Amino acid sequence: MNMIAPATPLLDVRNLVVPHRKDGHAFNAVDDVSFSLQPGETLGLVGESGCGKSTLARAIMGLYPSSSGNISFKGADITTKGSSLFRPRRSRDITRGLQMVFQDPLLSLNPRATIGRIVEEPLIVNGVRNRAARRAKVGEMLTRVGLGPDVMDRLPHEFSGGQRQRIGIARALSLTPELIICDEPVSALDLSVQAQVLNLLNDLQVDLKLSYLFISHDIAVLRYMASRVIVMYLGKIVEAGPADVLWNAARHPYTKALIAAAPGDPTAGPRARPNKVTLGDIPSPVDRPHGCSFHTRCALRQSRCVETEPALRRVGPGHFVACHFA
Amino acid sequence: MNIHTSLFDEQILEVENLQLGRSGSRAFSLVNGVSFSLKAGKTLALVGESGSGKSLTALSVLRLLPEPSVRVLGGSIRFEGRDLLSLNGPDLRDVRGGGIAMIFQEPLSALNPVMSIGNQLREAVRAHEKLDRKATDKRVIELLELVRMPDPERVAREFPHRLSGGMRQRVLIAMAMAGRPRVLIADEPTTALDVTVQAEVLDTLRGLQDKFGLAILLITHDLGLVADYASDVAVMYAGRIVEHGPVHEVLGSPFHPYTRGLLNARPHAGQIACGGVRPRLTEITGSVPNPLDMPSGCPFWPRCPVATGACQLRRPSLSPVGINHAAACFKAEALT
Amino acid sequence: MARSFAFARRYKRNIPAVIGLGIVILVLLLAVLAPVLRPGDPWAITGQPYLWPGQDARFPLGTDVLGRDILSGILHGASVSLFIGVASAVVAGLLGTALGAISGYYGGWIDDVLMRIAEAFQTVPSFLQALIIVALFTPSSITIVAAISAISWPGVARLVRAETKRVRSADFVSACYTFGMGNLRIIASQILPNCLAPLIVTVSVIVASAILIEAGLSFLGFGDPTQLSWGTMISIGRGTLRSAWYMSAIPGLAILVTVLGINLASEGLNDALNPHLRERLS
Ligand SMILES: Nc1ncnc2c1ncn2[C@@H]1O[C@H](COP(=O)(O)OP(=O)(O)OP(=O)(O)O)[C@@H](O)[C@H]1O
Ligand SMILES: Nc1ncnc2c1ncn2[C@@H]1O[C@H](COP(=O)(O)OP(=O)(O)OP(=O)(O)O)[C@@H](O)[C@H]1O
Ligand code: SF4
Ligand SMILES: [Mg+2]
Ligand SMILES: [Mg+2]
Repeated sequence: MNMIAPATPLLDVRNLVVPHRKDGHAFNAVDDVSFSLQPGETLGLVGESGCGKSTLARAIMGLYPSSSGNISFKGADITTKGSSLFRPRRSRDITRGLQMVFQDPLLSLNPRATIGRIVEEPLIVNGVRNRAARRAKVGEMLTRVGLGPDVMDRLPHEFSGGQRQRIGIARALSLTPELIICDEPVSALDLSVQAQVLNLLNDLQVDLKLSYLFISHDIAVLRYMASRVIVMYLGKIVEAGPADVLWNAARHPYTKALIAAAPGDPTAGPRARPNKVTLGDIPSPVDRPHGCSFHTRCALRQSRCVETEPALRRVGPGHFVACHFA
Repeated sequence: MNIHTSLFDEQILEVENLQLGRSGSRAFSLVNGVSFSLKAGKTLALVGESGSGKSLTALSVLRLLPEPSVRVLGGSIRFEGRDLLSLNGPDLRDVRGGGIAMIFQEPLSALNPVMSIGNQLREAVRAHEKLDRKATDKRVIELLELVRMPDPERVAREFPHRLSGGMRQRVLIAMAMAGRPRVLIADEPTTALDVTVQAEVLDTLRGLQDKFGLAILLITHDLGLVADYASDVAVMYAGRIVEHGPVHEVLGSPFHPYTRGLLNARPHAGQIACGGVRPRLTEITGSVPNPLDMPSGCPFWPRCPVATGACQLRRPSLSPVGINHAAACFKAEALT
Repeated sequence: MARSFAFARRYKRNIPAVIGLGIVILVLLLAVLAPVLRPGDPWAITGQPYLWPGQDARFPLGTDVLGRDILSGILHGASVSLFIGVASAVVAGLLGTALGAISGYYGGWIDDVLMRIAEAFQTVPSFLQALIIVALFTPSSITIVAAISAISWPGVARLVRAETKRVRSADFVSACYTFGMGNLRIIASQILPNCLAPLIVTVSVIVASAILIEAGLSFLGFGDPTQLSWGTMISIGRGTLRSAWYMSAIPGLAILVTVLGINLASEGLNDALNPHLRERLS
């Protein structure tokens, strides 16, 4: 799936397969996924629970090994292969350039470490020897995310969800990365706080020239954030394309259903409340349906869909769809 | 303070001036002066951020509060004219499940993991009516069909962990319907579900409402769902209702700055950038106050963009701003 | 600061735990002050044998079969018993923590091998095992500590392994990996501090059980012959259990009270270190 291909992309994922085990069954939580991310862009990744979004993010971060395919960051291969017990450490260049913000802001902060310590740790590990310099940097980052340096001696549980997520962002920023993988960074946050964090991510992107791989299951958030979108279903990419094309002229029946099912815009005023499309439940990723994995829920299904798996094919500039009939 | 009660007759459930919290040495208040009523065939949405007291309000209706840490300190809850707060023993059990049923956010934890779906539903049926074995089984299948469960006979033999989240929530709705309730309280029934499944579950609920004239109290934090499914909405903030009225009124022309903030905070149609510079979202600064450390005056003033000195001193009460529409803000009038 | 404050407040609410802590502190004080309170060698024959408690004001707790002062024995024996208890707990704690953390963190074959070894240690009844180890080597404080640690570490290892497995999958540990923190450093700085609460409790229970095991060994004659522990005193009194039961009963009571104190204190620790369990209920 080569989209427009200028120089080297920041992140390039080729035919990545990431296995998991569930109740003793091995399955591919991410199956043959390829995409690339250009410097400066925000690539959105959407899909329902269990479709492998977090697994993909974690595989990119080296937290899960892949069974085939490869991942490269700025042209350097960073694939974690096989399941060796001792996870190899990545080179400092890669670590510094590639960071992650986690979904649950509380779980992603060590409950027994002070905020100062949490944000400082990446610097310690990455060889910033001078303590004063580290502290200064930590203060700077905490100010950047709107908390200020005086929170350094406090513990994570003393903060609200939005503030904790800011701390997580400050930690990711402390190494001045180029790409941040944001795994549902606002899903656990209250509505009034979501806007704060999204604005922060936006400001940071402009000021620090960051790129994001932005994972979300919230169409409204993704519509706002992403310039290009990938839609995943049961471990595979079913559609990918520029945001405006995807939101306005989606081709895959799953993407269409996803957009249709999203709650309406509450400010749009009174409206008829249509019953939403009926899709039925998502099959388990462990026994993925044969052929097109969406066929159990698809209105367009024909016998061909059950028999052969549709390939991801180009249907427009930068627009790819995996459906026989789209 | 009941602006709306006078205008409608079929009030099944009326909550008035509800106060929840703890009294005694370490006294604090979590829900304060909450009033609303439910009408047959209508859905009232209770929206608000985490910790605003939505679940506690719902639990108090069924007398399921986590006592003694939180208890009813005042107010009244009337169901079909009966005072729920004074009910005891068998009468209370009659109302619970029979008159008023509840479904929860996390369907898995509400089901018994070692009992088949069929058996759990049978128990629910038996709790409400004396039927012989065959009639009970028939009723179980009927209930599963009622919630549009595909292949009900097979599902009845399954165990909870073998079902998907959406199916579990349907089972819970079926259980709730076993006692032929008139009021259904749904506490974030779809928060744990995927969007595509969420829509189906809510459509199912709406179908039941049309069929049986159910009154639904829908607790959610998603204003989009409110717009799609509710007829009335009460916006809660820090344990109080700050705005209340018909959905299209409240969402179409909100009076309370908090409601406005919530509506604007969400990325919406006008803000899609598709590559260019994204317009900033309107944020509500700060965060929800701690119930042990409530600001004096209007609980929203520290975060309010239009607060004045008066807001810090006195607390605004819920007062009419339109037909059936009330807001608790000094500046509500001026904001139109 | 605020944290230790809250901890102390929670601990103070638990009356039995405060009593337990009081007992532990008292025993510690007695052990430390023994040379001052009762100077001289506790083995020395200082009076008439078979004096019952209260019979002679010079020997408030009486004397034993050879005329040694029982009070002096109890005071000096306290440090012997406590030393054995604490030393065994420390050794077992360190060994169990290290192996358990490695096992839980790396998993795979390392985990399999280490857990098999731990199982092997746990199949033989622990007291019997300690007895065999001490009997194989010459009984001395070192071998006794070694024997007790050898039978106690698997429990610690299992606990730390389970906790490590739990904490390891937490996002904050993943986050540390993503910014390049090494495995050993993750274990030491992220995982272990989060297993500390149950670990402290388990280790303090080992102190109590080690005191009991040492007493048992000494009673059977496998104690350190150069050290006068409470267990040794019981075994000295064993022959005259019918006529002069106080000789065994007094050190026995000392053991009982100390072990009870340690157990109460560790239970209090457990509750105070796990506020989430309690706060929900109160
Ligand atoms: N560490 C793991 N071990 C085994 N299976 C896993 C693990 N993590 C995830 N899975 C399984 O892999 C599949 C994909 O999970 P993943 O967390 O990547 O989904 P997701 O798209 O991020 O979903 P969500 O929206 O719920 O976060 C799921 O079926 C999940 O149960
Ligand atoms: N058992 C309890 N003891 C003490 N305080 C409680 C208890 N349960 C809830 N609270 C407090 O009551 C307040 C309201 O809680 P409630 O669960 O009603 O919020 P909510 O609006 O349902 O939030 P959410 O959207 O997170 O479910 C919160 O501040 C909460 O901390
Ligand atoms: S390939 Fe067939 S089943 Fe799959 S989405 Fe397209 S039409 Fe539906
Ligand atoms: Mg995820
Ligand atoms: Mg709730």
